[in-house]
Amino acid sequence: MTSFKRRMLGLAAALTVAFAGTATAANKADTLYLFSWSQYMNPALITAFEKKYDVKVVQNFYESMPEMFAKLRAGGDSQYDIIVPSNYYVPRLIATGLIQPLNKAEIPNLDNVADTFVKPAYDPGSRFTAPYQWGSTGIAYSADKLKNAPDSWSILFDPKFNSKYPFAVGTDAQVVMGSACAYQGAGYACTGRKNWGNAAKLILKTKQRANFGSFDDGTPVLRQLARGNVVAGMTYNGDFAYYKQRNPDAFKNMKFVIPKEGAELWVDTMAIPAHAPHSKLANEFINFILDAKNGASLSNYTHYASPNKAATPYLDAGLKQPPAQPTPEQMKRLHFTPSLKGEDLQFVQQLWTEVQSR
Amino acid sequence: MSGTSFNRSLRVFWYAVMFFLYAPLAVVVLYSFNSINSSAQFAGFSLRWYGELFADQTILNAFYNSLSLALASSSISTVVGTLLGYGMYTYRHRKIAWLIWLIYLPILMPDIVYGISQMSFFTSVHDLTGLFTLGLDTMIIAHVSFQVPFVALLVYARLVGLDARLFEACHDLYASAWQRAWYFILPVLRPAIISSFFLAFTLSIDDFVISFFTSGPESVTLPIYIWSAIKKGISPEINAIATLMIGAVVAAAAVAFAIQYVRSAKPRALD
Repeated sequence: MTSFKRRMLGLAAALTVAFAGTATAANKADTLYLFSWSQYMNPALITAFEKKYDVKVVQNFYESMPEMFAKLRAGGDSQYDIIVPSNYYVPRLIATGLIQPLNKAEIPNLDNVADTFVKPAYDPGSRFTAPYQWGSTGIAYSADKLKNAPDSWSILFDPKFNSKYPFAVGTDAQVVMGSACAYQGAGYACTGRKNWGNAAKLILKTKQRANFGSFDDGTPVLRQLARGNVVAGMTYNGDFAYYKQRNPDAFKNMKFVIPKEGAELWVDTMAIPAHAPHSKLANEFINFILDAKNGASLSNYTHYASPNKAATPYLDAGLKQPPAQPTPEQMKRLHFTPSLKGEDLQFVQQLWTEVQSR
Repeated sequence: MSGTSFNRSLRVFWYAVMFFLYAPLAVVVLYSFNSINSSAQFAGFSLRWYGELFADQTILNAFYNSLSLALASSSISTVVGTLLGYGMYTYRHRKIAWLIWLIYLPILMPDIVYGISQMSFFTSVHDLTGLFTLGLDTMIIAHVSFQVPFVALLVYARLVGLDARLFEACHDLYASAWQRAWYFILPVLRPAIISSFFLAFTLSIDDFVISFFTSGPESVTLPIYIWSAIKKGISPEINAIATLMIGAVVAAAAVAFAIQYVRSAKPRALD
């Protein structure tokens, strides 16, 4: 071997050693990794938690449930301390062993949870999750373009009602199929292959209408509404209230309705991944959020309803009426999305892929 | 020379292309000075988003991560790619020359396939050995692996354009391999190395899909942050940081142009 080659090999070896020597674990003993939806946590609460427990909180965000699930499967269950899954995903997380049971001894504030959320069907015995915020998914539309709109899914699905203006349909498979089921009379929480097949056919037909806009929901569709790109879309009640308050001019003629045929009632929950690096701190965080004043501070920021009955006296007045807090009549229209698994889940997902790709 | 109408229509075509390329950037810059939180209507000039940007630690962290990832990965890939390109050149006539065609694989492969395969690779290795938790080091490895082909090809193209006898000429002048590398090969490759560094840097800063699949909790880059903020809304802070990035690139280009201008305008000294 020439001396040049020897020197080059030595250099390469040195670089490899230097590179491999970089620290692998960056998780300090005093950091909490929070994995949640964006704009869903009051920064003041984070600062208060950091000060109270003398830790650092690192926030990461996802923008859909499948994304959170994929990240957890790829090793995220040993990197994040708190996740915020929606109710219909919780059984999946429990079944795949991605979340660990709560340490109830460290969460005395679990007593603050309102009775409706104490024994949820998606998490029997509340072993794995604590409720975070709850809300509904309904239709936001421009009342000046769509006059005399009924409280119904026909705003989106009826070609006779709106054949001129572009509109948007949601991105979540089960939510949109549920709303199609509701419109067809099978109820929002429909199950069974026949119902789902009919729902998928309706969505496909809707997608093929000339004035179909896009698959959008949440905040993107509110921006489209403000811009005038669409006249109707599916969105969450809290997002609607939040943007209406921030931008009263643009949202002057916008209305939010919960369709009478049935709509989604969702509960976002806090859970701890199976191999979370700081599970004690995570349990303390859940206890912190379930405190009365902190729960109210959270809801006042996000404009969603709080599952915390102790927080009710501290809530802003605007949160005690629609759209944040539905009327009892509206509550009758709201249903949880059914939690699916196994072949049913595969079937629904396959239907949705077909609808999106045709 | 607006002589013929063909020339004139070419010029119009040129302006149209320029407009098509730069109008979206201009809109982004304009809305960074918007006084309300909207990218739909412009309500007046204000610098509030720049103020909020410098107070928002999350975006600044994401930007810092993007920069450090790009710098680290493009430095490593420039070194490795240059070595690889030189190796490709040296062995181009030998029987293993067909191996060179494998280098096109990361370039041709769709980003999403590449990203998912990187993620599966790192998680399987982690399950077996406990190394490689997803984070900044896995992102650097992934980025280097897709930047190296670009660097290697640029260096290879530059070397292939040389007269092969120049290498022998160095040997005739009693240059050792190290001296040949230092005094001949590296200066000749300097434009290729510099341009491939900037190409690798751009590829890394720009990359979303591969970064997304290999990132960990502390290594969120700017594109990943913007993606995750889509559901709940992006404020014009993003426009502000984009404007600053555009400004930095424009400033760098202006400086390079000025240096070149000064150098060409300086009177040449007599040898």
